[in-house]
Amino acid sequence: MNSPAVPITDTYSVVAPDRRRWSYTLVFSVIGTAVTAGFVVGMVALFAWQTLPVLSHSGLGYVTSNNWHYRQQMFGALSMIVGTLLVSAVALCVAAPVGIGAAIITSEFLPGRARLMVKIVIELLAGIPSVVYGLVGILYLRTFVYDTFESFDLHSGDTILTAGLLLAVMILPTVMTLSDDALRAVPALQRQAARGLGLSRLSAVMHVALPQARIGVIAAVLLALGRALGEAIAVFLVVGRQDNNLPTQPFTLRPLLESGQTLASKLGGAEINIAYGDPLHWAAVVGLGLMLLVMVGTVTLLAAALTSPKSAASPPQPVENAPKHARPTKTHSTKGTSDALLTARLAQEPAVTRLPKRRKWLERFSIGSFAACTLLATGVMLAMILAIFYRGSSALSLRFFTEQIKLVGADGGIFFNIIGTLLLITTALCVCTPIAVAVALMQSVYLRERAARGLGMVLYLLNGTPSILFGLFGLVVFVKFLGWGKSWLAGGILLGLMMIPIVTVALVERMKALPKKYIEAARGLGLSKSQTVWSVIIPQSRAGLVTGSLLGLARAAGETAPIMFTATIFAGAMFPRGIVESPVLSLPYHIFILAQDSFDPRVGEKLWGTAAALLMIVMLLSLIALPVRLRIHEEAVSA
Amino acid sequence: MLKLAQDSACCSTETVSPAVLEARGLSVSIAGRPILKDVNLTIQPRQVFGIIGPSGAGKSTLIKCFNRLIELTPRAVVSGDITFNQGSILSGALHPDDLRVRIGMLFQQPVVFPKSIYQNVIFGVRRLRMVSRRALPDVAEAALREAALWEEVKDRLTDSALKLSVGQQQRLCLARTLAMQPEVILMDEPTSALDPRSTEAIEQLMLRLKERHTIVLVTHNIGQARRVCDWLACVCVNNGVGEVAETACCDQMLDNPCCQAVVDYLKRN
Repeated sequence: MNSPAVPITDTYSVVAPDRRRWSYTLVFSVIGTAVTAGFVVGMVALFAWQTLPVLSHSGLGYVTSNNWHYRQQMFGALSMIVGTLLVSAVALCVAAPVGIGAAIITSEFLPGRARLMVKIVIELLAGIPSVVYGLVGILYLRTFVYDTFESFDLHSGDTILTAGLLLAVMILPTVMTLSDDALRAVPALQRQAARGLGLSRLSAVMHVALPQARIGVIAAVLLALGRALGEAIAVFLVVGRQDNNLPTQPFTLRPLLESGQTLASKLGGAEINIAYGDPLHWAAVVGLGLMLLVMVGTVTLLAAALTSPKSAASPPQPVENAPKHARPTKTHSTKGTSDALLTARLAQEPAVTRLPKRRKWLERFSIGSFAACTLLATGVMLAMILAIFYRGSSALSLRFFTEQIKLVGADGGIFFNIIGTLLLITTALCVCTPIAVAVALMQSVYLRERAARGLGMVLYLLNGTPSILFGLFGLVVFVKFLGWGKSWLAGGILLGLMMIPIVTVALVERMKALPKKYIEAARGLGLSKSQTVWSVIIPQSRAGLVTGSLLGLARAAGETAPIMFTATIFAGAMFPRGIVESPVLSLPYHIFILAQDSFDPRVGEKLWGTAAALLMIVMLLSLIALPVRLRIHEEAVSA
Repeated sequence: MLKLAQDSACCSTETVSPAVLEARGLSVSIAGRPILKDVNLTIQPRQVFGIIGPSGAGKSTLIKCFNRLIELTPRAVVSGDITFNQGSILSGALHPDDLRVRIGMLFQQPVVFPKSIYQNVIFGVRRLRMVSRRALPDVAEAALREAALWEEVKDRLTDSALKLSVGQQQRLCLARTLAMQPEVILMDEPTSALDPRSTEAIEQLMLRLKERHTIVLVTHNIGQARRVCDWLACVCVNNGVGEVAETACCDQMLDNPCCQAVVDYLKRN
């Protein structure tokens, strides 16, 4: 108690911190970004390089002729290009109006909590693995199309139309959520001003909010188109996969009701494994991937360019022209005439013109149909989940989860499939997290405007890249070039790369929302940039990292295309014991194989059970993340 | 309170014409929290009726009740009654959208749509098909002249309205409202975002507009209230809820307020 107060300088000495010129954080960030950008550039370059032989062999005929007979060394991909465009067109025609209508309801008419519920349902719809969509397509949609168009004398229910309708459901969430974002970004004051003028709620939306959001809505449709062009697995299962079937009767429904082939569905087929033996055949196959990449890349980059901050800051608003007589020159040259004119108008015009009844009904009808779109979107989702759990429930038992496959899927359980999928997504998480953190730091801490926009474009492109192309890339690099054969590590790395944009965007949105004052406070204490990163920015962005990772994992768990050639087999694998030639079983691939051969009722039961198990994993991961993730996202959009 | 106002010395000589807007026992709560309690106001035609009072007392909420824009606020509950030309606006006889045509509004920040100047002026008139298509340019010119903006923009009607200065944008918003031929114009601190010169222009306009229109003005600026208002109401916070402390004609209120809350408020400004 009576010891003298110790002068504070005696307790420790302040040493000026050692300031390095460069920081490990920056190096880390640069490496992660380089890996990401390098992967995108490397994939394009690799595909282009591997395609060269077929271009010198077939020339322009590769894209303009319609004869794909690999045994005769003939490679003309026209029918696949046409098939891809047809399928995507069908999907867009259905998904764009329904998605935009539903977005109008969610963003403009639903109160907060109902809005969140609908958005969660839609995000869940977006998270359903494409192989599950394919399964539902095979067992329900195929029959539906066959029965509905019976009078057209179909060969089977596997048609372009079936694939298009299935894709429409798959891309609906993309159209809807992005259009919703675009509408929400229009300031509320604009609507209020319109309402203050006496416009009805719907008119305010249609004449103020929607026109101002149109660029965002167009971008939403473009990104959805990108997804439709590149979907392999679901289309593969229902499109019929008939080569060289070019439509002969344009302008009728007929081409839609025939079997066909798309670029992506071709890449999902067994021909890929045959092709590697013949350099020319292989080049032709990779060329399909290159074409797909170019198509999807164009669409995606267009959408990215439209919504980039530069064009958002000064939107290319084509100002509506006034009619030619907007500036009458002679009559109104003096103030007196104008006042006279005004008085005249006052006398003529009744102060209020009530809207005609017809318009009121039109409004009710419009709102009703938009609401129907929302119900359709959410209803499809709930119906799918119910159908899967209903049909799969009889297979779900403890044995199902603890035994291995017997009798080619007709008996036993899916123990090793679950182990395999868990191993794959854990590896993916380990690969993805450091890279995503590095890229997010680069994007929101180190880069400014133009460079940040450029990196944003790379992320957009990576996000849009069809998953089958990850598989093709992995096949070339890991399986063949590195000689790993089928390996769990290759699958994990590919899935990890695929997750990068999801996790990065979640992190960046969180970092953007971080109040500037925290960073200023930390820098004000003398902390360096990288110390601020680790002490303030990353801890405060944890929510973004966690939720983004969970959603990324949900997507990775359900992907078939990246792992089917590189990491997974149907039966006969247990725990991997190395890297080379050590495949695993997996849930999505199991469904993919069984779905093509589901005539045995016992297989059918196991098949639905597997789908239910996969869906449980995916939805569990999504449901944990979605409420928080959506809140972060909404803050970022409205800011 | 109303009675007190009408009895007040300076205005007793005026002839009292039928009120344009009248609030009777108006209370508002948002999300269960009471904002305004038992408001009684009578607004006479062809005058500028000012609403003053401290921030957060509910002035903007009050003014939004007159054109039912308050209903756009989630979980807002309005009780009591408001009459417009002796007819209740809350009873449902008049559709809120039609009401808003007849009672226009100007916001704190000018809200122009990202369109041309011309398209902004005729925005409402065109959408509601109030005049024939051919008359639109004349309507636009008349409205812009009335808002004292015509001379500044007549040669660039097709330019984007976003290029205008904030003061011009506010007058453009006024022109957009005037084109609808409203009887009443509600102004919610219309000059708080403007520079002194634009403020003066808007104040001049108010004095001119009251020849034909009734103006309800929310303002923070006592000087402005003195310059343009004919009649004032002071909204003060009492036990956490906004109440009309006093209504009186302009000079009476500013020079001889009776209510202690108003005295305190004026002293602080």
